Amino acid sequence: MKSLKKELIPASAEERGISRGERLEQLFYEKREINEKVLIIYLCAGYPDLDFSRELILTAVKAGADIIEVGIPFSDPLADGPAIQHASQQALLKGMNAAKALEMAADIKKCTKIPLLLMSYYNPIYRYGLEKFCGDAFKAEVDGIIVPDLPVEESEKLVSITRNFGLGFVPLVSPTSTLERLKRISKTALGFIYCVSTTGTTGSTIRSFGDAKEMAEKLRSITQKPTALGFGIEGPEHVRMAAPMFDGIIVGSAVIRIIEHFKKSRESCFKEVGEFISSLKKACR
Amino acid sequence: MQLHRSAYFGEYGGQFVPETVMPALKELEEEYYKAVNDENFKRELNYYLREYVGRPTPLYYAERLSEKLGGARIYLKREDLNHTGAHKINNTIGQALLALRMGKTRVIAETGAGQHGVATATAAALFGLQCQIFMGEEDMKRQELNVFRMELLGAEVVPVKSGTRTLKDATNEAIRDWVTNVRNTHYIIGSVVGPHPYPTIVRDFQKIIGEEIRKQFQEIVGGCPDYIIACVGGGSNAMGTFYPFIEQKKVRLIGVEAAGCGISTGKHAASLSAGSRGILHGTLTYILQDEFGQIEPAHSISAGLDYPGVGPEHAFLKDKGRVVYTSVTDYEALEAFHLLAKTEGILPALESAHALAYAAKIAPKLKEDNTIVVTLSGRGDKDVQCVLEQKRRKGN
Repeated sequence: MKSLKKELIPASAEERGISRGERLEQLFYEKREINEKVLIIYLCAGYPDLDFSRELILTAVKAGADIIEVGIPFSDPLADGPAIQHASQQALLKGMNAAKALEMAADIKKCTKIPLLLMSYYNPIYRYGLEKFCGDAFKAEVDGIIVPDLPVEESEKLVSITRNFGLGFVPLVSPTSTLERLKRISKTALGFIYCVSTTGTTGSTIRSFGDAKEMAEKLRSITQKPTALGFGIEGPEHVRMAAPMFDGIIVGSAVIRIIEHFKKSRESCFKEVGEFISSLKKACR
Repeated sequence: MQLHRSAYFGEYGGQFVPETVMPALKELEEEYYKAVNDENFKRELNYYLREYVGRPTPLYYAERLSEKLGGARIYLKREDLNHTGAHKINNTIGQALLALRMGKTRVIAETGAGQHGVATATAAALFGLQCQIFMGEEDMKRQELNVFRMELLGAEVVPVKSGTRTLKDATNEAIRDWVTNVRNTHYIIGSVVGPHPYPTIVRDFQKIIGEEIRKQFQEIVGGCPDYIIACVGGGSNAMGTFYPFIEQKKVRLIGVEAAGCGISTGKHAASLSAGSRGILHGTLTYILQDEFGQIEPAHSISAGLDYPGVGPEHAFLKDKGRVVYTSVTDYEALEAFHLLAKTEGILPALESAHALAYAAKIAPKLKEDNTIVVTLSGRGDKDVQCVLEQKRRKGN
């Protein structure tokens, strides 16, 4: 029943005269109005295999995810912890790559209207060609792009290309970012700002939410743009702790760990992943 | 005070790393430029290089080698005579002093063969810093003694089990650790790679090699050498050797990469000769990658050259045509290893043997009044086991 709500968002943002990036941002504002948090679920394209990962995305949508972040696997994912490293490696062994991930995104968009973000390290995008990648992402109905190893010093070119296509651009900020950097970074954001919960890689243990709180306060003082907290969010308890400070929550490694554990049987894998996401969704309300 | 020098060499270089470490890179850059303009820092660094590392290293005329090859006279820059047996320590002493200035209590490093790991562990012991070294599980097996050496020096060696379990993945893991512990940790990168300001810092700490060559060659022979040859993996000994000669246009600079089993076999580590533009470990440079931008594993008999990227300044110098980059195979490097051992009584590191192998190729074609300087980046004791295995495999 929850997924019905999503049908209210028009298929093509352009029909409403706003870009996909703006629509993405709009989603956060709508949730703000009803005091609900946006749930973003990360899944790795091609893990455990191509077909399986597509089914998992649809499972996540049904279970209440508001946005899906599809990871394009990379051989050297230096911002990722063991869970996503392993998933990426498995996906690469199954032959996943940027071109296939774009195809998969287009496929998914035929089945659901859910906003879809592509997460990729910079080299696969650079190799594909920045213009071509964004153009193909646009054609595939992708809504935005996240690049974890592209700091504001290097992002100007990609930001301007994503803007030309009306795609969202989701930059990352960290507890170590200075106020000056936060200002610069938040200007590049279209959609939301990805707040890294702790110094560390994805799936790290969050020792305290002190860092996150401080970061949220700093951001609030300089921008109204939506923010979402990710890295190390383990379950509903974490979601509830982060909820007062952020507009959205990103969960990746915790989902990947469940998939890894149950992947031998698709049915139980879908069931476990679905139940986990539903529990996160409840905590978002 | 100079604050932000360019992060780029032409279009190469940059800072392609997670946001978490960006403030640390800024801090490092600022501290570095403060340090190099600080007489006390310079005095302290020079003191340790002289009294502890044993600099200057000799520029040695390899007379019997030159005679054997016939043709040009060959001089060896003996970085193998440094404390710990390689040029790596020039950089680790410098960076450990920077870590102290920044108030960091812990240093980390990646290592392939173990030379940079040993050099980092040494500097950490000398200055009382806590030290962890990331090393691929495969490399730990191949270089068991170096692992023990690092442990004797008080460092903890962390086995890296991800990816290819070699230098590339050890570097990933070191970056992940740095992202996690950035507040108290300085990452001592071992080569002229990684995000800005590392390629500049490591080059500057290694350029003492080239500066000494200039001075010593002037004293021994007069003028400048005709050729200078160095091996290139990440490229720190080569960058340090070449840098003071970049403006001496008459000096021909040659970087020698590892062709492994041969470039055409695909099993090599020749990023400049056979790679393409891309981003690895935070820098835009030449790398080994497939059509979708996935990094491909490198291969070389020498663990120190076994890296699928190269310093961005080398990429720049290649495009500018100031340095010529070539490559030699595992086999050629082994031949050169034996040649130097028998003619001069020196066991070179297999890395350095690549530079020697190329010198041996061109020397006979040159005249007697031509001169070649080869940087002997390290000693070969660490490779004796590997050479023995090669010999056994050949069945004699």
